[in-house]
Amino acid sequence: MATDALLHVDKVTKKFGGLTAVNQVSLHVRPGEVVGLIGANGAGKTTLFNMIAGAYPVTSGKILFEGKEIENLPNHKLARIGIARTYQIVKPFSNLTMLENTMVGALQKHSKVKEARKKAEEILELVEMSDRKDVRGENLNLPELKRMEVARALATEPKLLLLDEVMAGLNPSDSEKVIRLIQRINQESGLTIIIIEHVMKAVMTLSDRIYVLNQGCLIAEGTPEEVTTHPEVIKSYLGERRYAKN
Amino acid sequence: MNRKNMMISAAVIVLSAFVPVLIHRSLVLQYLINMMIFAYLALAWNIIGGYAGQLALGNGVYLGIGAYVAAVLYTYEGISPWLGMLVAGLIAAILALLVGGITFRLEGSYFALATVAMLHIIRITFMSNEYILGYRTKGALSFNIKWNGGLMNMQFEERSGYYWLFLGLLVVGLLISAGIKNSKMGYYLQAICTNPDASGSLGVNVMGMKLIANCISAFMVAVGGSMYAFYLSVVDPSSVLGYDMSIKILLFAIIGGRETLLGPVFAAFILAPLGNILRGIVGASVAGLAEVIYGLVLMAAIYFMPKGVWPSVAGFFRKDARRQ
Repeated sequence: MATDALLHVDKVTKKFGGLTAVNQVSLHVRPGEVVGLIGANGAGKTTLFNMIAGAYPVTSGKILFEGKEIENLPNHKLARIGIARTYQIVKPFSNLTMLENTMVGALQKHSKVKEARKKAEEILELVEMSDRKDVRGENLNLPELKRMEVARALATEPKLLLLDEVMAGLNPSDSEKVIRLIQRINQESGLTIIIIEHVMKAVMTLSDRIYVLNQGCLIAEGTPEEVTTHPEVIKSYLGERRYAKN
Repeated sequence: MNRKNMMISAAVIVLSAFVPVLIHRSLVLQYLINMMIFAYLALAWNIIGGYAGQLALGNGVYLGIGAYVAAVLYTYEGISPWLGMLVAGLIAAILALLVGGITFRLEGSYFALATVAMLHIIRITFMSNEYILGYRTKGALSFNIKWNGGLMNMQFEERSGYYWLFLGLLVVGLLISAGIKNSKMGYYLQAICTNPDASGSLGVNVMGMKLIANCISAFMVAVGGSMYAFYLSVVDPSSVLGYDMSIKILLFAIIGGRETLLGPVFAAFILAPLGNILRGIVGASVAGLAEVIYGLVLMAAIYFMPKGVWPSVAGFFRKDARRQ
């Protein structure tokens, strides 16, 4: 157990009726790290995210953020203490423009609308979406919505950012842009990030460390190189040895 | 709102204050007053029903509460309606807090149905009880407010007095609604309207925000109800606690444009007199025809302008301005 961890998940279990979605998972994330969370569909990645972000209560176990137990806090309180997330399936405020969407995030730290607008504009500059800021959510395309998800989360000025498949559904060139964006955010502001991603190249490039989940259980942990050569991982997730490079 | 819009609004308000000086026909003033009351009520409903997107079908109940509380306090306790309406507003806000606390846990149409049930409960209570909390409200019969002219009693000899009263109310309503829409709360409510989950994860206390919006809306509706009662000088459950009152209020807001500030006002200004005029023209010849036409107009408005009339109207003028 790392005492300097920003986030510490301690033997967390989540059961939905008879189904154990997440089983006794422990992990930690140090400040400034980018940690990847991989696993096949149904491995429990998003469920784990939902527990960290307060969308679900845990069945058992503890989640510590900056040393404080957070597993029973509602999501808006977690957002206030510095945990922000994006959704795998985008959840835009379709009646608001991209700028206003981002402002909803920014208003948390900046109660004055004017200041929140300024902050939101800065963030949109960062994610390179300034030219689309006056377009309403319902008229944005998927790559733009994915970026808006990131922008909104960043606007809350979090300490920990949870990115749930921000590259799913994007073409390679859009994914490439998002990868560079995440790298820049991490390097420039030292923001701690956990990413769930199916695009292997993205996880391997971005992550300092990777956790591998399979059927709710943690089966491996380590640097991208260690994980991809781990026999258990190859067997259960990557399937064929030939895919385990990159 | 920019400077130019503010100047225009101020000019419109000042000009409309002179209307009773120029027009003495009491029927015209009566129509105008009716328009302003419903514009105000639609604005108030729009805070919870439009901005926050909670389809509160039965929130006309707060109008009835406002009417009865102010009337009872004036009649039996001699309390001025100016004070009475604030008491009524507080009572309505407390009820809104309690009801919201229970019903906001329900999703979508269940919430809408729960508000209808609340209206039903309160209406039946008033209809079937001669006394409410020890005050004689006369059950289903009309409860008359004793006439005693004077500003303190909110009773005026001339229609123009009521005209100014409701113009003032509408201006206050507009200021509150605009203030909310352009504040942190306004953004939060609009976020909750489309996506409560995402709002929560961005730090919005969804339940708390809905409750505050519900209380503000109920307070405003109740104050409007108190004034309405003193304007009519009579209160009875089938009118102030009727379903059609609740529906009318929200129809104006929905048809005008739920997400907009001026939509509810615009719709009330068009539709409130339309009902009366239709009844005047065709009502006498064929029974029910006026209602049929009114209904068709509403359906056409919803069908062709699902986001409300106001966004279309405003969009048209904006396009027009660009062309010039």
